[in-house]
Order: sequence, then C-alpha cells, then structure tokens
Amino acid sequence: MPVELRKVSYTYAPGTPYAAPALKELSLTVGDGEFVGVMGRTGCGKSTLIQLIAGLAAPSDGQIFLDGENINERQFDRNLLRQKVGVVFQFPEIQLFETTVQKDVAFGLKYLDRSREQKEAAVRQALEWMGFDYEAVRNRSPLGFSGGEKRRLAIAGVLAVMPKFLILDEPLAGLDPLGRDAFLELLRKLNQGGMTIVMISHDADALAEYADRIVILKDGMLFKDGPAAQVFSDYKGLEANGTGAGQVSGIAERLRLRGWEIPAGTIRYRRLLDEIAGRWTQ
Amino acid sequence: MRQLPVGLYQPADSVIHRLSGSAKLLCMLLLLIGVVNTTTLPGYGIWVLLTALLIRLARISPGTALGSAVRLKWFFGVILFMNLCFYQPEDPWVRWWIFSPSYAGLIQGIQVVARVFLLLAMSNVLMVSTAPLVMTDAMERLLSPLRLIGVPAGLIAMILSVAIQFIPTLFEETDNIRKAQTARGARFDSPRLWDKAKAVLPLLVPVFLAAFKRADELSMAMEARGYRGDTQSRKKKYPPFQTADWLALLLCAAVAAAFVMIR
Amino acid sequence: MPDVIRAEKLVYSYSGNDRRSLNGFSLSVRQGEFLALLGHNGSGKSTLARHLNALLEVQQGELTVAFLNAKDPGNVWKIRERTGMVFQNPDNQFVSSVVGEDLAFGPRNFGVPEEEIPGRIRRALAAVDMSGYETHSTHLLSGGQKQRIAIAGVLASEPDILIFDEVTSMLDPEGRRDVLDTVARLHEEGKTVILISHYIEEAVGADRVALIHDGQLLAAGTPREMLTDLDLLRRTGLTPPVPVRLYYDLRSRGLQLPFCPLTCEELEDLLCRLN
Repeated sequence: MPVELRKVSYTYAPGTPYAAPALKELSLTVGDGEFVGVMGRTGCGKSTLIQLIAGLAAPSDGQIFLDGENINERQFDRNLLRQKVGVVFQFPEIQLFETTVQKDVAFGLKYLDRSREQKEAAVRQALEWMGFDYEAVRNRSPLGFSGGEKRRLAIAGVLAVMPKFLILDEPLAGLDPLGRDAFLELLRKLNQGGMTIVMISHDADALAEYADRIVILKDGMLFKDGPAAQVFSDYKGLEANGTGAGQVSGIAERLRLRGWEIPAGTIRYRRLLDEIAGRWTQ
Repeated sequence: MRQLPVGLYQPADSVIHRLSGSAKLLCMLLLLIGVVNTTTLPGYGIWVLLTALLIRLARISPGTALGSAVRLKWFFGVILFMNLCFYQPEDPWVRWWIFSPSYAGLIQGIQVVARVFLLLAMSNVLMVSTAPLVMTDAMERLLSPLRLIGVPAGLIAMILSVAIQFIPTLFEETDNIRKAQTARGARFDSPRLWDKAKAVLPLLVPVFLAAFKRADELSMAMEARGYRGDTQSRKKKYPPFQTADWLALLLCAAVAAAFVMIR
Repeated sequence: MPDVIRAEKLVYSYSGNDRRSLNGFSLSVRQGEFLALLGHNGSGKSTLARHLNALLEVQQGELTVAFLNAKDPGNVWKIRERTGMVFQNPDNQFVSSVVGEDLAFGPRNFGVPEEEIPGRIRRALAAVDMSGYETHSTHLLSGGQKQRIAIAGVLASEPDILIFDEVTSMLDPEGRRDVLDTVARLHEEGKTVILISHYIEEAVGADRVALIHDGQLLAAGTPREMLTDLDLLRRTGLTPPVPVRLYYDLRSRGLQLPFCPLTCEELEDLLCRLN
C-alpha cells in the first residue's frame, strides 16, 4: 500500500507577519517499490513535503495516508510510522551521538519489539549495506570517522529499522564522485529489494540515471510528475525552470537540434551511447 | 522562507540608531537599575510608557520590539500563577488544597512579570538598533578598564558578539536535529518524563558538536581575514561621545536616580 | 609571468594523526593564473589551501606565497593580506549579520584607514554583483548570495590571490552557477585564482588543472590534457565528464572520433561533422 497525499496545504508560521504558504493543495501518490526523484528550486516546498510524510509536521489542510491510514488521526500509531518511514535528512552525519557505532545504528530499534539477536542482525545488515565491516567498526566511536563515512553510518542508522519507505533529502551533497556513485548503486539495490525510495536532489544526472519517476515542485505545487524518461525529455522547460535535465538529456537535445534522430526519452547514458553508435554506423 | 530571528539588527535612521554604541549600552544599564528599583504599580506604568517611547523613537515596529517577550507568554503565565498562589499564604482570599491566592501575591506576580518583560523589551530595542560590530566595540570599550588587571576585553567582546549572532543558526540547527532524531524514533513529544529525559542526549550531543564545528570554521575564516585577537584592538581609538550621547546618558541617569530615591 | 606561489615537497600531518595529509606536494602557480585543484575528499586539498593562506605552519618543505617565504613567522600577516580565502560552508564565515559591517572586518584588521573602507565595500559588492546590499542581513540571504558576500568580504582586503575551497559544494545549481560566474570574472579582472573542488565540470574553464591524491601532486596540465586522461582520472578518484566517457566508449565499439571532446559543444560539433 502506498503513501498518499490528498490536497495537502501547509503554511509556515500562520498568523504572523512571516506567514507563507509552502505547499498548496498538493495531491500525490507514491506506490510501493517506486524510485521517485523530487526536484525543485530552493524554497519550492520539498523539505516541507518530507516533514509532512514523516509526520514531523501536520498539514494545515488536507490528509496524508500511509497504507490507507490517516497519519494525523489521534488513534494512528506513531511507532508504526517511524518503523515504516525512514528519513535521511540533509547532512545526516550531524545526528550521530552515541559512544559506539553499534549503539548509534541501533538507536532507532530501541522501542521496537524485537529480540536482541534480531536487533543485532539488523544493525549488522544495515552496516554491511553501507559498506562497513560490522566486526571491525561496531565498537569504534562514530565520531572518529571521515565525513563521507559518517554520512554512511548515519544512513545505516536509518536503514536498521528496515523501513519500507525511505525518504532522502539531498543525500549526495558534498559527496565526491566515487562516493556518490557507490551510494546511488546502493539505493538501486535497496529499491530492487522492494524498498520504496523518494530522493530529493538537485543532481539531475543522478536522478535521470536512477529514478523511475520524477516529481518537480514549483511554488508549493506540482510542476511535473511522470516517468523520468518523459519528464526529462522536456529539456527546455526544465532548463527554464532552473532545475535542469541532466547532461545526457542536454547532449540528446543538442544533437536533435542538429538533425539527428535521437528519440525522446533518451535520458540515460547507456541509451545515449547506443543511439549515437546506432546512427553513426548507419 | 525563514523567520526573521528575534533581536536581529534592523538598519534605520532614528535618534536611537544614531547614538554611539557604548552610550546606548550604558543608558540601558542605567534604565535597568531603575526598573529593578521600582516597587509600585504606577511606577511600572511609567516604565511601560517609557519603553513605548523608546520603541517609537527607534522606529521599530512593536511586534519586532516585543517579539521575544511575547514568545514567553506561557512562562509569564506560570510565574504569575505561582506568585499569586504561593507568595503569601498567611493572608489568602481563599484556601483550596495547596493553593492560597492573595492580593500581595497578585501584585508581586505582576511586578516580576513586568520586570522581565521590560528587560526583554529594552534589550531588544538595543539589539535591533545597534549593528553587531558596533555592539562589540561598545562592549569592548566598557570592558577596557579591566585590561589594567589583565582581562582581554576585546576578545571577550568579540566572543560575546559572535555568540549572539550564532544563536539563530543554532536554534535552527537544534530544530533540524530534533526532527532527524524524532524520525529515528526519539521520543521528545512523549508525555512520559523518563522518555523525555532519555531524548536529551541525542539532541544535546549533536548540537554541541555542530556548535564546536561552526566555531572552529568561523575562527579559521576570521584568522584568514586578518583577525589577531586582542593585540590589534589595543590601539583602537574610540570616537568621543557627541552631545546627543551625553544628553541620553544624563536623561537615563536622572530617571534611574529618581526611581532609586523614591524607593 | 613569475610564480606567485611555489610549493616544494610540502609534508604535513595533523597532530594526533600519523597519516600525512600532504606527502611531498610540489606545485607552482603563475601570477594571474586560474588553477583548478581537483581531488577526492581526504586527498589533502584543503590542507594545501590552508598552507597557502598561512593558516597552517609549514612543517616540512618550502613554500613561498605572493613572493613571501611562508616559513618566516613575520610574513604570516602579509601573506593573509595578499591572499583571500573563501570556505565551504556559507553560514560559518560571517562575523557580523550586517553585510556592510562584515565586509569591513578584513580591511579593519589589516589597518586600512577608516575613510577608505566604504569605497572598498562598494567595489567589493559590485565585483560579486551584489551592489546595494550593505545594510542587508546575512541571515536572510540564499546560499549562493551568502557565498558571494563571503567572496566580497575577502575582496574588501584587496588581495592578489584568491583561494576557493569547495565553495560550491553546499549550494543549489543556481547558487553554484552564480558563484562560478563570479570566480571566472574575478580571474578575468587579473586575480590569481585557485579553485579547489571535486566537481570536474568546474575545472573545464581553468587555465590549468592540478590533480592531487594522497597528499601528492599526481599531474598538472591543461584541462584537456588532464580531464581526457581516463587512467589519470581514475587514479585521482574522479569520474570523467560525459563527453569524455562517450568518446572512450564509442572508441571501444570501434568508432573513433578525431579527438576527445571536453565539452558538450565540442562533442556535438565532432559528431555532426561526421554525419
């Protein structure tokens, strides 16, 4: 069952001179197993969207359903929400605080009804997903790692509860190219294992390559929503909106303008390579 | 869309803005002496009028000037209630369980609230009408006699000023970390006291670490821009007080003296 | 042009850490040059940057910056006056929340006469395309605007050498573009620019690219020489630009372009010439 937003509005600091609408009657459904990329310029409402889905803020108007249940109803079980929805905030490395990696990654499991062995297995699994050797790091201080490693540790802490729905806010910011690619591959693996992924990013290249569906917000409303191949094919529209469509789409568009027949939907590197090679040999 | 932090300097051309920083700081200290020495309700009435006049003169909107005080309305409510019910149990209006509200308690409560409220409003007028580095210089100037006994006045003033400016950023950061830990299962909003207590560590440790990191980066950036700590500011010459500064000081001193003497 | 920076066999380890952040790093930078220094996180690029501004003392090796010997403690302040450094996090560089006041901080520290400062502030703001922001609050600016104000804060001291240490990595695409445009413009106006980054696209417009890995200089040369060398990029831990990848992948399919394109424009031209 999916996450569903029905006509959700959110206003910042209502009733003060600073009141500003962040989301306006937004309706959106994310189905199980999807990999959705969310884009938009700073201030378009992306971060608000995350906080609403994670139940960290309540909408001013409209409803949010998780597996068919309204998450803002009084009888809704918050623990269930925490367990189902994992959130990786921007620069998650700052949230590390425990004395050992083992304790920090297990933090989210504290209130869950699982046996000791289950919890340890979950921690081991999460750390291995993030590329760590469990035995080697479990007793080290999480604060003694490098910046990129700390980010992976923090994300392991989110993955340990095995959420079925993972939201990430700009997880690629500040990662170097190798770190970025490895991280994206990991997300793909988790997605293929059945985890629903919603990733907010400015990195159009990454989203074009990895996401199936793209949602673009503008001034708190839906600007685009559709399969990645379709959304990124509107190269000019996305450039004009300041979101960009990625380098592959850019090259495809250039070649099209010069008379090459590159079909719409050429947004991924492998496809572009095939298309160019195909035209060339003709 | 970010909220304007409380106490953020707002440039404007007003009598108050034009006063020198150290004169303003001294005036504020004098006025505070006056406030603390006020013991009657009509006295507080006069202070409210004076504060309104200050806000008016500084051309600040009442919302900006009173923002921080208004945010504490619950705190004020609790103080009022506590004083009302517990201040003078010997002579209450009624007695019910442990509560014994009295007239003396009510007066005392109003006075305590008025003091804190006036203090916040006045310091807000000072902050909003004085640019941060002007304030740093002012603090440094007032602290500079302490140099004779080896206190690094410039350094202390700079630390205070930078710390004040980081407050909004740290608030925002605390809020972000709180949300992140909540999403991980921390129970800040649990009604159980034990849950709340346990949730403090996951919040405090990251906030402190982040603050240290910021301080470290800022000190590096300041050094890169030629800051040398106290040594260089020793030679600094402060501008002499103008007529307006002396006048303001005289007025404030007179008001303060009047309240001290009435008491 | 003479070498305005000359580093020879620099070695540096942070206290309490055996690892050498710089391990025999050598590099010269000519006056007025735009040098891009690329490397992955932990390669030693920030450690090097901090040497160039005399924020770190030379432990081993030789270093002259702005023709001054960085090992002479008497030169520290002169070097800091001649070099300006902008850091990664836009929030952690301001001493005052009022733009104009913050910009005056550097010149005051360097003893610039008070009457000269307003003019310097005006010129610095104009140089980053933020004229008229003197009385604005830094708290209310976007990330890109903050970084441009941070650049202006450095320009107000009128340095000859500008060092940008990963200044775009926390910005959105719009802010990034604005900051990079500013950097390019400052170089055109005659400043020596050192841009430190792990975004390979930012190096395309540089005069010269230097690749750093494990605290050593791997190679330095024109952007074309450096960014089209797959093996070199792999050893530096960087991924090649898309046109370069396409060139090599097409070649492995037996399709040979006349030369390796560096930008999308070049790739487009090459392909269309074939068609």
